[in-house]
Amino acid sequence: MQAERKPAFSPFLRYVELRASRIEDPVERLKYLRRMMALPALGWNLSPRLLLGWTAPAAAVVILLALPWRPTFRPPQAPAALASRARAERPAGDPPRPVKGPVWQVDRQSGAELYSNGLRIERRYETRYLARKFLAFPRAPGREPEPRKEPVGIVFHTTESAVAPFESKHNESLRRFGEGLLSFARQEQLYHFVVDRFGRVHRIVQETDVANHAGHSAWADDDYLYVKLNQSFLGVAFEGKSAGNGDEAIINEAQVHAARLLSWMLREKYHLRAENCVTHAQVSLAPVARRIGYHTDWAANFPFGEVGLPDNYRLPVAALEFFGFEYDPEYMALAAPELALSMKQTDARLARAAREKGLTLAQHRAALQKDFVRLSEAMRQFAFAKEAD
Amino acid sequence: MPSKKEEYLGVGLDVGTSRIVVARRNENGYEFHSQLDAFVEVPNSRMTKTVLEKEGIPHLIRDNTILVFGNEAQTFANLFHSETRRPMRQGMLNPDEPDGLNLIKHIIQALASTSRTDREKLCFSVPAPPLGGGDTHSYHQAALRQIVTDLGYEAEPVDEGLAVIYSELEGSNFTGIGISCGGGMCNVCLAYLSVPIFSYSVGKAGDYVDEQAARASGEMATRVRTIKEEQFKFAAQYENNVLQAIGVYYEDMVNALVDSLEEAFTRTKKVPRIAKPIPLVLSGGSSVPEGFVDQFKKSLESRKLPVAISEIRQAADPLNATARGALVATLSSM
Repeated sequence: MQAERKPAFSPFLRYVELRASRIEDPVERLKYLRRMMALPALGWNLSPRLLLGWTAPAAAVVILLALPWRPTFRPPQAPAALASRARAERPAGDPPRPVKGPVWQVDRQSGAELYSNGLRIERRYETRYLARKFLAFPRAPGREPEPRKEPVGIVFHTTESAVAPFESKHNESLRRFGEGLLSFARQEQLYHFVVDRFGRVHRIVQETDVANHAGHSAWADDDYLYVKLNQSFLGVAFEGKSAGNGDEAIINEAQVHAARLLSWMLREKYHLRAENCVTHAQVSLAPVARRIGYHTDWAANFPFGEVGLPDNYRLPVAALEFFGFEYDPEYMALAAPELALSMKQTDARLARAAREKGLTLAQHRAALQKDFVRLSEAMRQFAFAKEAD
Repeated sequence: MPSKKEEYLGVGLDVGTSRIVVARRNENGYEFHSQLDAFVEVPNSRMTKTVLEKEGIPHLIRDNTILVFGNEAQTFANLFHSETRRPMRQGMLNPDEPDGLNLIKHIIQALASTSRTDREKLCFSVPAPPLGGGDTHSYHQAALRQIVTDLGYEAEPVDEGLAVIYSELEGSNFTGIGISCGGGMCNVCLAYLSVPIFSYSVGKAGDYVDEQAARASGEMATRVRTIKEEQFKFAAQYENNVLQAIGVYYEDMVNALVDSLEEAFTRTKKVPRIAKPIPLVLSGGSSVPEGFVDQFKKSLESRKLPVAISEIRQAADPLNATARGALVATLSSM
């Protein structure tokens, strides 16, 4: 059964309903309802105190403000409301527990690998895909793109697959769902690693190869820009749902612990920068619509601190900052407070830069978007060019 | 002002076990085109090939055989005294048919053609997971998305039960229960102001009735299906053992569907407080027999749901409701 959602009973909902009833065209009515119901403050989880404290005119103002928004259609599997509820369960700004020291491989068998930090990687579902090669684009002007073969970062995902309650009486379902997921991930070469609900780390695609995890995506560190992150970043997925499972958090303690050991090992082995260990929601984009957040897994709640990373939600979203992309209000509603703040800061920087160049914001964004197209095309040609013998 | 072409952009696609339906807008409202989601394998001969090409009948050539697919599959099955086969089973891609995906692609292409603009929007129906959890339909969904993306569309899935709500329940602001009774499965969704509260699928549907009735009566399932579609009515008294068996298993299917609804409400702890009674709409090919709605009402009478039902009715166009709802979903996202 799909996710269960509980709308709050409120005068606002009655107002939305009344207003919707006055829209004759069914498509326009649905458009309006979907837009309104995607607003967490109006549709879901609004506290009774707040509801009573607001007046109908105030509600009307909020509703009218919302009217020009054109939300991207998202299937019901990614409910904004539950994600925002889940946000409260695991604050994004956990104090970091930095990981230190070298990690090396202690043992390697056909079935598993063991590392000095206690990490065990299961190899039963391991597979190969296309060899990794990509371009890192220097941010400094005048420098040529650099061909690379080693990964430069990690993108964290949730699998959004079916999850059973994490209770002993559901052992059978827990095992069955996990195995189904791993088989599917192997078949589709979806990630480099999957952390199942028992905290086991499974290698799916070998790190030397590309995995189909990030789709259209972009990221930047202090020195380089990256596009099409399937080629350049490792994909680590947690078995779970962005919306959580009933009253459970998105991932459990065993998964958090495993993620800490895994990211520690990967960062040591590939010299990954901490700022390049980010979530799918931060890098995913819709290139035609020029919007970020095509996928929204881990838009909030990723326990950066517990995984041994700084709170990377504070980092600017590369596609907004460097490629002139925009975001939907729904994305903002889903985002961790730190991420939302970072997006607002980027907006301000872009507006300032546009003014300094004597351009409108739209013109400035359009110019940046051309950069994205250029880099994407260069990357595509490089990644899919045959090796010269 | 948008051109006529732009005005009618957007596609709704219902990929069912029995039929594939495409919905589009036109100057009169909506238009639908459908093909049987079935094929038949016939021997490859020059004569057959010539006939197929001359008549414009969709087919694929596979070494020594020709796969005739879509609406003409049944005719050719009768001609060659063979059974039609299905690219899908129980609402999902049929793993026993290696050509299934390719055939679905050709059927969709025949119906929807390629995108009319750069990435025209299209919503396609997908089944919900079984009640109580179970296999995810990620592969099915990903495969369908790939097919339509390859045809140039910007594709999004829409839950089949929710599509029925989008098609039929604008009068209640898309609040209510939508049920699609198909060949492979029944899909159920409860939505509140367009937002799905729960959705799930039930494996007992039209094919279940055919198979069980065939087993009970010793008749072929294809033949049972034809009898069911042409003759069966609920509440009629039959002497014919095939029709009797169909009646027994059809009632079982309806009871299972109603049971599941009760169970879904029990499992869902967070059902919203809906002040007004909500409508329930039934659609899909398996809801077409005369008396189906009455049978459903009768079965529901003995159950207690936590929400009051204002009306139980059939969709205005039960065979096209899912595709229409998918189109409404598409248009509302444009």
